[in-house]
Amino acid sequence: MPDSHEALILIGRLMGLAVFFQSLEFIKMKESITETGIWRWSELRSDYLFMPDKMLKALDWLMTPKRFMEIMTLRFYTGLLAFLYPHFILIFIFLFLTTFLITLRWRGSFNGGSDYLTLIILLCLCVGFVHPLLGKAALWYLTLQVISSYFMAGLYKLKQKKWRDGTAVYGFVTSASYKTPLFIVEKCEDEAIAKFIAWSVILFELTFPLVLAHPYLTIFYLVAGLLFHLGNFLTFGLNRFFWVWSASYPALYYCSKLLR
Amino acid sequence: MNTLIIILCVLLYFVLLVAFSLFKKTSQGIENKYINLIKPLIPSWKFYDDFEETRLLFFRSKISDEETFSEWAPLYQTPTPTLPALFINNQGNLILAAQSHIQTLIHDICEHNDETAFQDTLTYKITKNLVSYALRKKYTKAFIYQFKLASVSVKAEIMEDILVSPLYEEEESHA
Repeated sequence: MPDSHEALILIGRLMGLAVFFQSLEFIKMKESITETGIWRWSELRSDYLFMPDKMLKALDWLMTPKRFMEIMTLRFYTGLLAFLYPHFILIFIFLFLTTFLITLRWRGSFNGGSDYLTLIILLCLCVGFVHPLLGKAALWYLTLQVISSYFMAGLYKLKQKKWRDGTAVYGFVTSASYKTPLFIVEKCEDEAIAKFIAWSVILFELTFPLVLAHPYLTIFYLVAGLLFHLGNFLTFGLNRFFWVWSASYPALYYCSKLLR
Repeated sequence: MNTLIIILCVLLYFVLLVAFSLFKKTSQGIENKYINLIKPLIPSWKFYDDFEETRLLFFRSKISDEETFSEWAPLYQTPTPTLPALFINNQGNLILAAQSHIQTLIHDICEHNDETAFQDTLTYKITKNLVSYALRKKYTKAFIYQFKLASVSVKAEIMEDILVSPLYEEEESHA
């Protein structure tokens, strides 16, 4: 019987690393949250006027650029602590709350899916360390969320013609939003290659639930998943997805072992 | 026996996911502001759900009234990924956050009622901040600018303007 505590500790370490990098990024972009930046609290607070006065005042106190950056600095060190000592539930409660603050600061999320999974993993760690049974439940919940993330993405791609005929791949790599390396753009100009990539991604994502089916398949899908996220980083610069999804993989490994 | 039950539950879960995805969304969903706060905990995982068109923010600018405007140019482009950016990619992630904001902007343009001017909405203000923030890195003196949201073709050619801002003037930065 695999040990759920060991799996949670490994997830805690990897998550600590992910939060460490994320926090450093926030610290480096501090200018963007000042009152001359992009996300100005004096404007953003209008989204939260429905809250009771005390809650709004607490947010006003927490969200000033200086305080928010202090929180990010604390989050940075706490991420390091989580990597070194992933046994303390308080560390993960703090990381969960500060990640939640980030979602408030950026009206839902700063970095879409990676913020969502960060929150889910941290919540699972907060709950999972309370009791072994809760640990097991948390790992299963995390596993289902991660498998769903691939499966749903694959399903929605399959429904779109542009993905089925490969033009979506070409569209993404040549999009004015991304500065994709030239060798990738050149490869994707070939319709057959673009179609092959599109279908590889769709099939990989749709069949991801098979990660739980057999030990060899578990290894195959986790390695393929890492390569997939590395590819997404190389093409679109999505570095956070690589770290956060990798941090969740021990849960998948644990659950697949449990089924044997 | 336990293993079989777990496998069946997992299978049932994915069958239900497929079944629900076949239904078209007919309602606006839950519009409770407190529930919206915890939405990040229950994600739909619909990446690239809306890939029919790409929409981008464009800008044009000049430093004096006498000058003619520059051509419309895309506001942001993520930097080419490098190995260090796998760890720290603040500029890239800032741009990805700007792109997420464009999704909110499109949603809010569709949902906007005429009771208030769109320019008074928070989403519009953030969009304006995004543009002025990026342009302040380009100009050290005062400048005049305009931005627009447009749908673009696969080759990044502008197809249709969705929102065009008035002209704005940004004063000289004393920072």
